[in-house]
Amino acid sequence: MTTAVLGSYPSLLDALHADVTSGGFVASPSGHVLASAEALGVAGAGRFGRFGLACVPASAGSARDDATAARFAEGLLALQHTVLRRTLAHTITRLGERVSEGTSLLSRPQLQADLADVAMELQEEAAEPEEEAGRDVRWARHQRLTCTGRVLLRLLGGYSMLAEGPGADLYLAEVAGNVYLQPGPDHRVEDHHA
Amino acid sequence: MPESATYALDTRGERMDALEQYFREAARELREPGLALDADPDAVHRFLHLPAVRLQQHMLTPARYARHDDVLPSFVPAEASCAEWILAAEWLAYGDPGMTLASPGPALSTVVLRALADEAQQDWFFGRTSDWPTWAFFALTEPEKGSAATELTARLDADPSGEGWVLSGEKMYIGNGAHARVGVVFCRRATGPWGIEAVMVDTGDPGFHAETLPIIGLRGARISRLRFDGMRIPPERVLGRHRPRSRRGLQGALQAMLWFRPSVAAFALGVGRAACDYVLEQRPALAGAGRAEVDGMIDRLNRLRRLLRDVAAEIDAGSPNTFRVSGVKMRAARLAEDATLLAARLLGPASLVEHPWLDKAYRDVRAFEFMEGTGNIHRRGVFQGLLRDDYFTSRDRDVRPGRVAEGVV
Repeated sequence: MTTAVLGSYPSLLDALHADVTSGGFVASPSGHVLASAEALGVAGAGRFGRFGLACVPASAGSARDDATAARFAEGLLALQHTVLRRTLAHTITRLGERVSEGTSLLSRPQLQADLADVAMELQEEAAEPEEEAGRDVRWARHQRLTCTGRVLLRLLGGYSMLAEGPGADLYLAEVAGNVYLQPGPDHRVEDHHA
Repeated sequence: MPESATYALDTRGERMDALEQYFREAARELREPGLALDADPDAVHRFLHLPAVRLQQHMLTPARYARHDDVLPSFVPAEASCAEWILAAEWLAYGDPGMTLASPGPALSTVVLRALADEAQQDWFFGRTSDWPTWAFFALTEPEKGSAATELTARLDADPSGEGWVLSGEKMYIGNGAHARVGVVFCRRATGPWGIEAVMVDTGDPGFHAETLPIIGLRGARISRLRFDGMRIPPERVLGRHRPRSRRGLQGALQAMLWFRPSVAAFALGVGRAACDYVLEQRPALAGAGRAEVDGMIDRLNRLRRLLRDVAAEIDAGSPNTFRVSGVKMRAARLAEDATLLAARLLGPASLVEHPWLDKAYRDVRAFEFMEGTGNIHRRGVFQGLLRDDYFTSRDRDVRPGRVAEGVV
C-alpha cells in the first residue's frame, strides 16, 4: 500500500506561511500561530503539539493585517482542498485493492456514490467565483470540506485512525481551520503578544 | 454535570439507579488520567488503583471467577448483563473512553468464552484474566479484510507432529494486543463459514509478535498489529471443540460483535454527552441559536439512549434485533462526531488548541465509527431489516407466529 499522501501537512503549512509573509508567520485573529514544531522551534513544548504541528502565541512580528490574513485564509482552504484531493485518490486506490465477497470494494454502489459526492464537492470548491469571499463564507467552505473529509475517513475505516495515514493530515487541516478560519463572536481581532 | 443539562429519566428500578449513580461518580476520576493516557498510552499503570479501572474486569468476568475485594461495592455485578454493561460503558466513557478501553480485563473475548468454551477452557482463560492486572485481546480484524468474519485468512493448519494446530497470519487494529497476556484469535481451518475457528493464545508462546500502532485518537486502547508466525496451538485451546462446526468459531465472533455493539454505542453517547456538558460548563450563559443546538443534541442523545436500552434488553432476553443494534451503533457513533464538531464550533476560534480535553474527545470519537463494524456495514444491516419488515418492531411486541428467537449469551 502506498504511503505517498501521508504526513506532509505541517511542511505544506510552513510553505504557505513563507509564501504569504516572505518568511514569517501569519497570526490568527485570536492571536495564535500554527506551524510545524520544527519551524516554530518548539518541539515537545507548548499547549498544542501533534503530528508535527504546534501552536504558539503570536509574536509582535507576526503578520496580522487584513489583506495578509485573507490571502492566508484562502491558502488554507486551498491546502485543505489539496489534502482532500490526495486523500480521495488514496481512498480509491486503497478500496480498489480490497476484495470482499469476490469483488473489489469499489464495485459497491454505495461506495461509488460516496466517492462521487466527494469528487463533486471538491470540484465545486475549486471553481473560482467572480466575487471575493468574506470570512463567514470561508468558514462555511471549511466546514463543508471538513464534512467531505469525514466521508473519506469513514470509507477508510480503521486505517483512517493511523497517525501515519491520511487521517492525520485531515485532522490537522481541521485544526488549522478552527484556529484561523473560524469567526469569533464579533470578528474582533485580539492581541496576544508573546 | 451542569444543572442546566437535563436528561431523560426512566423507571428501571432502584438497583439500576444505584448502579448508574455509582458509575457516574467513579467516572469522574477518569478525566485527568485520560489526558495523561493520550500523551502516553502506557500510563494506565499509574491509575490501576482507581475503582473505575476495575470495573471492566469485574463486570465482564463470569461470577465464579470474579475476585471480590474492597475496591468495588458489592452491588456492582460480575458477569454483567448487556443492559448493566452499557450503563457502565456510557458513564465510563463520559469520564474517558480511552481509560475504559485501557483497563485490564477479558474485554470482548468474554462473550466468546461464555458462548463457546467448555469448563476447562474457561478455567484456563478466566483463571489468567482474573489476575490483576491482566489484559486480553479479541483478534478478528485483518489488514486486508477488515472485520468481515466470513472472509478472514489467518490459518489454522494441522501440526506436522500430528497433535494440535499451527496458527499463521496477521490481525490489525486489535485493542491492547501488544500488552495482553492472553487472547482469542479467529482463524480459518477450512474453507467456508464453518471452517472458522476461535482459538485461545498465550502471548508468551513462541511465534507471537505484536506492535502498538501510533493512532490519532483513543490512544488508550493501544491498538495493535499482531502476527502469528507458526504459533503452536494445543488441541484443547480450540474453543467449542465439543460442539458441531456450525456452532463454534463463526458463531462466537457474531455473538461477541452483537453483544459489544451496544457498548460502542454507549461509549459514543457517553462522549457525546460529555461534549455537550463541556460546552455548558465553559459557556454557562450560552443562549439563542447556540443553546438551541446543544439542546437539540441532548435530545438526540436521550432518544438514542432509550433505543440503546431497548436493544440491550432484547439481547439480555435472548431475542435481539440485530438490525436495530446496527442502527443504534451507527447513529450513536455519528452523534458523537456531531457533538464534538458542535462543541469545537460553539467554543469559538482556536477551541481545539485552548481546550485540550475537547481536542482529545474530537479525535477519540472518530474511532467509534469503525469499532465493531463501520457505518456502511450497519446501514446495509438496517436495509436488510427493512426488507424483512423487521426493523421497527421491538421484540417484545413481535407477535408474529413462528418467530424464532436467536439465542445469545
